[in-house]
Amino acid sequence: MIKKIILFVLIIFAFKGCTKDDICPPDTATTAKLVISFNDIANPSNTKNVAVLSVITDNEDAFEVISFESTNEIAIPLSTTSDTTKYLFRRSVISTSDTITNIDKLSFVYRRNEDYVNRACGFRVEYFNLQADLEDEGTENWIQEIIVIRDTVNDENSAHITLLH
Amino acid sequence: MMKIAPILLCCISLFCGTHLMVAQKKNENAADTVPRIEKFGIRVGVDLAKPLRTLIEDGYSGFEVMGDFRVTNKFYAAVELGNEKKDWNEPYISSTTSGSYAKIGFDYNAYQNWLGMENAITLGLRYGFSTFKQELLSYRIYTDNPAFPTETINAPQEYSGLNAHWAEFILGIKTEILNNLYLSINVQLKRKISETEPENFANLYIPGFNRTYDYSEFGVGYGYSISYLIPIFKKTEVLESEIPNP
Repeated sequence: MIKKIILFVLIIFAFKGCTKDDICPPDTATTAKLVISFNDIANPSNTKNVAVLSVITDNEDAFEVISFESTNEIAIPLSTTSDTTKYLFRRSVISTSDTITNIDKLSFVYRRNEDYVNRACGFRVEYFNLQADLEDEGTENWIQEIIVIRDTVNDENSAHITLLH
Repeated sequence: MMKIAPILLCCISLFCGTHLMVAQKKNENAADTVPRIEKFGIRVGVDLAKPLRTLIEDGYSGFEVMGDFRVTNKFYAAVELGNEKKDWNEPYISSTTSGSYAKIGFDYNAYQNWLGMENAITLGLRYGFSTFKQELLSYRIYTDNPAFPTETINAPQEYSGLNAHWAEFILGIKTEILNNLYLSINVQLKRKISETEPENFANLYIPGFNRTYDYSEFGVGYGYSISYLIPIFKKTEVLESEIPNP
């Protein structure tokens, strides 16, 4: 009886050594990305794919966060240290003769709130009062209209913003 | 590695201790008529592992005193009082916890001693209570994307007036090394009953309970202590089974 209890306690000690507490599991809800969907300007309720799209941070790093051949929904990160995130949305229309590239500048403005997740993941950021501004280039913009659907970014379940083009 | 060493040491001594006890048991059948003298009194002691850890482990300081009182032949009322301070560092969080705790409960001696010996294998239950404060020293926003790297934010925040309650199962071995002087080791399995959590943070360490787990209410611990029995009275008893047939 005693020996069994000792064995039981030793087994618990052995397994307590490594638990999933020690690393941040990839499926944990950490800082959510901004989900953007692309719809048709002629028919705003319909999705419309963007031909060749890449999104680049509008700072000296010019980091390309995503690049797609054709897509109607993207998820991009927002800065966790600044209340504004600026991006360049680059669309390339490739035809047989040449490639027409059009870059639109978008800036996202919001309020941030730091939220404790757990010991392995630390904290995450929730974004509130999200607004999106498109730098007006007259007829040169390929993005025609911005609709903010949800102004709180704390999950990636559905689109926060719809861009009409 | 620092964390494993004392646990390993504890397991080894537990293993050796058991063997000693087993060796004794073999002679237990020998019948005799000498009456068994049971000592009753208050046993007081200190934990040896905590001061040792205070010396060798960075970011830890603590002590524990304990006492027990023999209520019946097999049962002891037991209490432990302690104070701990522990730094807790994770890749994204670093914090420090300090506070005091008390554990009260009983021990049951499951070991039938060889005549004249006062050793014990005890199974015990405790109710544990701790009041403490926790300071979040620095933290980072978790990110897995390289576009916006995060930096460690050093903005110390103190959360005081925290408390926690837990139930504890304690398995121990006591050996009388000198007259009335005992060396004991124990392992503890704890389950949290309730705790006050700081707002927008969590209790990463609770004095007396030790580290917490995000996905479990359980905790573990160990003790290595020396204690002295202050005998108050002695009780003589003759066990039926030990009287030889004529």
